[in-house]
Amino acid sequence: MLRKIFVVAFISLSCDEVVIEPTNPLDPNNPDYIEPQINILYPTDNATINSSSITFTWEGNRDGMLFRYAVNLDTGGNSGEWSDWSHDKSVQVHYFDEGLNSFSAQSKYTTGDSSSISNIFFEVDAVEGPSLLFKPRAQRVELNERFFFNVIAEEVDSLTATSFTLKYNPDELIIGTVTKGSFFEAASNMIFHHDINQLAGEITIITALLGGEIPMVTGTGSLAEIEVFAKSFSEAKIEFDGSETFRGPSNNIITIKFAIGGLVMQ
Amino acid sequence: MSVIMKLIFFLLLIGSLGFSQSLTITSPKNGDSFEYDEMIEIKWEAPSYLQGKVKIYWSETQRKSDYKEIDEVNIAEGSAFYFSNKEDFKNSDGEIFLIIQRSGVDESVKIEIAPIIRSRTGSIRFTSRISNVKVSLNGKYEGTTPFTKKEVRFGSIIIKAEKSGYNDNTFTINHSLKNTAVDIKLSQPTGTLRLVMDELIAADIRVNNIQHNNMFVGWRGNAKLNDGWVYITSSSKPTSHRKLIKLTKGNYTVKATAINAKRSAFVREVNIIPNSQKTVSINLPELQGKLKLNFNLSWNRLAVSHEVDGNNNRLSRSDVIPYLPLKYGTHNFIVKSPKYETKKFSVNINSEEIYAVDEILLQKRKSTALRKNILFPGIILPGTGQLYSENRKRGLIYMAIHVALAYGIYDSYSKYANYSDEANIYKDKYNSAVTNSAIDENWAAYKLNANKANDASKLMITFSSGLVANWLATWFDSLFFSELE
Repeated sequence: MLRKIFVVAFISLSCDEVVIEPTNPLDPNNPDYIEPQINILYPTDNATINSSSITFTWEGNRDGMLFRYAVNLDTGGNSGEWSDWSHDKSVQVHYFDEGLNSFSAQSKYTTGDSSSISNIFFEVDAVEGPSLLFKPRAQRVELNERFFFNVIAEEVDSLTATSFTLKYNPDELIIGTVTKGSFFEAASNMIFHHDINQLAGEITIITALLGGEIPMVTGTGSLAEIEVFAKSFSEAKIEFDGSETFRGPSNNIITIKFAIGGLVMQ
Repeated sequence: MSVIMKLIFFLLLIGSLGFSQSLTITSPKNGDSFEYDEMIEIKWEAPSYLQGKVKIYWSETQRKSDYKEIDEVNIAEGSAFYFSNKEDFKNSDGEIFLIIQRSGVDESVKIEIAPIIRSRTGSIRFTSRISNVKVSLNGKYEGTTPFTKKEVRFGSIIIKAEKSGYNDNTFTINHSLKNTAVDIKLSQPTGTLRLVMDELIAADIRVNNIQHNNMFVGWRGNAKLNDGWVYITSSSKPTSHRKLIKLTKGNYTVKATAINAKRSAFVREVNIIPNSQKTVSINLPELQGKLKLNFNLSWNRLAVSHEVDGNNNRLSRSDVIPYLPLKYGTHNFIVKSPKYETKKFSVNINSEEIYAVDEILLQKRKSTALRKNILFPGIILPGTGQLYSENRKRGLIYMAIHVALAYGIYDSYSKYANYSDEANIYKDKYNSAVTNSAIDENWAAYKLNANKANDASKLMITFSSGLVANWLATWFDSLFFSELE
């Protein structure tokens, strides 16, 4: 008989109240809810990178998060656009231009809640001067799009004159105009000569400072701006033909360490 | 002239004839006698130059014309066998001659003839267990047993035996021995004793001490059983069984006793008349004792029941006054009276004497009613105390309330279990959801089932409380309203 009493009591007392509380970590109603976060691991902010190809890595605060990134988001540099959301936590980006660049990343939960955007800035110093290089080094264009390259004198000291010839495939690119760059613009007396052989796919540019108080420039600056139109291709290049020269005020030859052309991608 | 003289004469005669062929009978010898059915070996000796066959004759005289041929045998065989009751000898007079003659040969053969003497009658002795039986042979009265009839000619004899009060007995014998004994049997005329048993129990049944037991072995239908008993059936069940016994005229005593049951013995005298049938129905009533019941309450306040074959038969006063007859065995009784404890008792009857039983009924008590409600069975089913104190209506109400509340507890608990299971399922789905829609949907379902489970839990607690309250109410009721001391 006692057993029967216990059975009734047991049944009565074993009906615990069902506690209702949100416990899903992705549920914002969960008191322990943590918003999505993003942390760029490499490179660190304000780092100097000696390569034009950089592998960026990052992490979130939970497994299963989605991520996206953008390069030079506000600067409209190499990319300027966000990537698609994916679970990748790293990406390798090529053809960074010398100088200041930025990388942005963002994460989100599968529920759609996203983190704030994390930005880092870094300096790319891949090319040692004195050198010639294109800027941007690479760019992605649409068919028939008009775009520009600048030919940059990188880290020159006492440059007075320069000449170079650029080669390209006339079936892929059409050169529009070639204008002088800003490097020599401050001088009161300078010459800028260019010759475009569309059939051969060559551009010859000669530019020099003539007299004046400061007939030389030092540092990094644009020597010429080239207007280009894109035909149909997947990749097209504009390269130096090896005849490029730098000269100093005494008509001395300044050794050009690197002459890096430009890359166009569709 | 004597036989021997005749023989000598023949020998001389044959010798005087100069019988040169020495064919000699070596067996039997003159004067040899043989029984009627005895083997006679006739042997002869003959010179080796004698070939061919010999004929064997017999004769009652020595005249050749009386010779009767028996056989023709190769002489070289030297012997021949014949039964003395050979057909050819049968009509002889007892004295014959055997002759051997070489056939086809004109020459006579020297022979010896041996006469044979044979018996053709015998004695018959007539006996019988029945005295003075008249015996006739072949229709002729010859005497009364015991007697011996001599010189009875061999052969088939019709014997008739008769005596007053017995059935005649006529039979045939083939008389062929010198001394024959005939034992006469006579049967008496019979009547039929028909034994019938309606109640099928194994019994030791004797008719003049001769056993005719019925061995009941099971349902059989219309078939012969042990010892001549036959079932009489009208359906699949046997209704009785019977046995027919042929008995001679006279008085018989039929006795029957049950083998494995306590029954009265059966004895019946019966007179059997030839060619008629008498029926004896064997009945073995069960033995009974006598029960005299006394109680401390008057009969009109009592309800007394007797358990018979699993049923409780209510007994009236007339059933038990002056006493209640009971078969052997153990008998169970129940005695009830309002506001008194039910009394159960047993009586074992094993003799035909009077068994006196005095039983005291005790009044029901309030404490008992209360205990029944507090403990078992009230703890399981409240209201049993009220039933005990004969407040049937209230007792049933308490029970009904209890059952309803118990069902409510069961139902609530079932719902609680179901909803909490569902809630757990949705909780798991909610916790593992990775999209907003899945989180929201499963959260809603989880919450809904959890709330329902909690509601069921509260309801169950309510029912449980009611159950306990109902139980406590029965205590209170027993304490103040049982109308018991």
